[in-house]
Amino acid sequence: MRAGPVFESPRLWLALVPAAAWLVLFFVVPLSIVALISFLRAGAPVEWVIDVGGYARLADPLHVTVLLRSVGLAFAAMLLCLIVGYPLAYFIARRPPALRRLLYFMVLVPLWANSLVLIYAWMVLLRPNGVFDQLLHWAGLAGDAPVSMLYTPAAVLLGLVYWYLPFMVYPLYASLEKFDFNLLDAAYDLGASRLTAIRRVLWPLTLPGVAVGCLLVFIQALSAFIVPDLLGGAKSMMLGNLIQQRFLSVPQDWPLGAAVAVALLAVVGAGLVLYYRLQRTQP
Amino acid sequence: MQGASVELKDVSKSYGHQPVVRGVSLAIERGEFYSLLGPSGCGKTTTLRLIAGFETPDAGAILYNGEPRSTPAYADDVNLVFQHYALFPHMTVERNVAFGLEMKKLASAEIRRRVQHTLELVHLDGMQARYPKQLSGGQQQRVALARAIVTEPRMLLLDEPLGALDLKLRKAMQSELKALQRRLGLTFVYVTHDQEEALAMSDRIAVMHQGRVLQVGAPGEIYERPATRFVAQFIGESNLLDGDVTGRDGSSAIVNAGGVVFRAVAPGERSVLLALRPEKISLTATPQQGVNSLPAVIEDSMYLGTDVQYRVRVQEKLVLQVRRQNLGRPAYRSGDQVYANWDPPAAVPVAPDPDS
Repeated sequence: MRAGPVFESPRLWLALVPAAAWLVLFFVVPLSIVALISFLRAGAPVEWVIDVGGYARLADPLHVTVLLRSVGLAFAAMLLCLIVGYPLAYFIARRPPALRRLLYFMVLVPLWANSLVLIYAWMVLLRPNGVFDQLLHWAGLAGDAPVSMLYTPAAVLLGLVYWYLPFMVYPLYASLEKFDFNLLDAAYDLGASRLTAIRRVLWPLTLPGVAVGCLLVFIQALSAFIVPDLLGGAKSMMLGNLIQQRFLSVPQDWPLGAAVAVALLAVVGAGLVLYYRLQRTQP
Repeated sequence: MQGASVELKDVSKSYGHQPVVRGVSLAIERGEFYSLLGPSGCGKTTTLRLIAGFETPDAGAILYNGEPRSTPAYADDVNLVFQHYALFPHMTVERNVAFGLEMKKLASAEIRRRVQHTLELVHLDGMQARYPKQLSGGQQQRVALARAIVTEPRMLLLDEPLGALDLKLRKAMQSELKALQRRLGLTFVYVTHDQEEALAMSDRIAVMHQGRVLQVGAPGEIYERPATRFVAQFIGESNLLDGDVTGRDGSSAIVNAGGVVFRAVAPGERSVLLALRPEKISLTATPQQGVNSLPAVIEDSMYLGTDVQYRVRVQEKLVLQVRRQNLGRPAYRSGDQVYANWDPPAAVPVAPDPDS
């Protein structure tokens, strides 16, 4: 698509200055600093000597485990968001327009609430003697000892799904709302079962929404920080926590922390390139 | 292959508290081109969706080939052509047409053969690899048609299939559709709001209004003998003469409509509503014998190309629309004194519409 001729006038280029300045000052510059730090030698906090030790220490099995766990948790969160989000988006898209807007608004509400408070609420639900624990005991599903889901990978996964679900539902809803549901009737009319109609018609035509939703959730979940920090324990540390610890906790290792950040960016960047490649091969 | 028949017995359907179809009874015969005609919101599309099995009636029965539908009729025998075609946008023409055959799990060689044959039938050979959005409206229409007939159904339900096409193309597609229906021997149930289209194509027409069927008949019957006021006004144009029978003269009744007295073929009731087509009235400079011939004044004329439409005032009381063929003679002008003439049987008594 070609941009309109609005910004062809040199004077209107001036309108872009604030945005450009903002991006350079608060995005390009800090990112360059992080990239620079990743190539320095660890010290207190860094020595101004070019060194790739940060990247070497990245290969430490301990850090590789964190990387793999992050990818695994982000992927699982993405899949669960898709499994929960698709029927939800479908349900909303098939309501009458007025109700549709209300329901969609309600899905987005958690985005406006303070996310820290929401995660604290989950801590209250998941801790020993918390609501989940009591429910399990009341249902007779647990023994005498209190059950804690808190500080487990499962709690982190739950938190990630909870936090990022709106980002999945948003693009799914957008593509489902545009979907012409007559196409499903046409498929049924030609003898397709419900499942076949979904597989051959609904799914391929809403795939762009699925792809965007998965991308949004995966990228964000991969670099999640607050959720694993509050709901996860030492055994469910993710990349975000690793970065934070290497910068702020003893033993400090800024080059390693920066190297993790750069690696994360590279993984996400590679994912985006792959996504656009795939998209371009579509008719 | 033989067309199927379908019968609706006192079928009703409401959405919420809104009755959409109210006690509709229809008997559609095998191999018939049957149109459901009415303005938007008259319940014709819902009636079609009931026949297709997309909706279930709240009351009444639908008989398919004389038997209750235990299995949904649309599973095999009945296919629908959707109003906006509902072609699968992510599939090529070939894949679209093959879809129904794939659902029947036919061998791929057989599918290819039948798709090819059907595309030739609708003059779309060579378009196999195109996507729907690369086709013109008329071509998309043909793909929709091909997709619906390739599985060899016994009945085709068409929901305003030509509504999105421009006039010239619509006329061409009308005769093509009609020829296809004759050739395949299928039963067509055709929903349209276009009365000309219905008159041109149908074997029979059911005129619908406010969820009811007002009249069923061949195009000629519907046009020449409209049953109710609505039918008279919706199908073509009609002058409606609301009058009282004041006496009888042999077989005809003497009718007084708004102070204008003329003869009509009317039943013995006291008040009568007559529909008189504008083209059944002639205008002459002198009074005519053996017909109603009443002095009138031309009030206005409209040039329509093949016709000229006049508004005339009869005896300073009754306004009539008169349509005369444009035969090259100089037209009458406003203020001209003429005689408006019509044969008494041309004014047809019509019933008032059922209460809504």
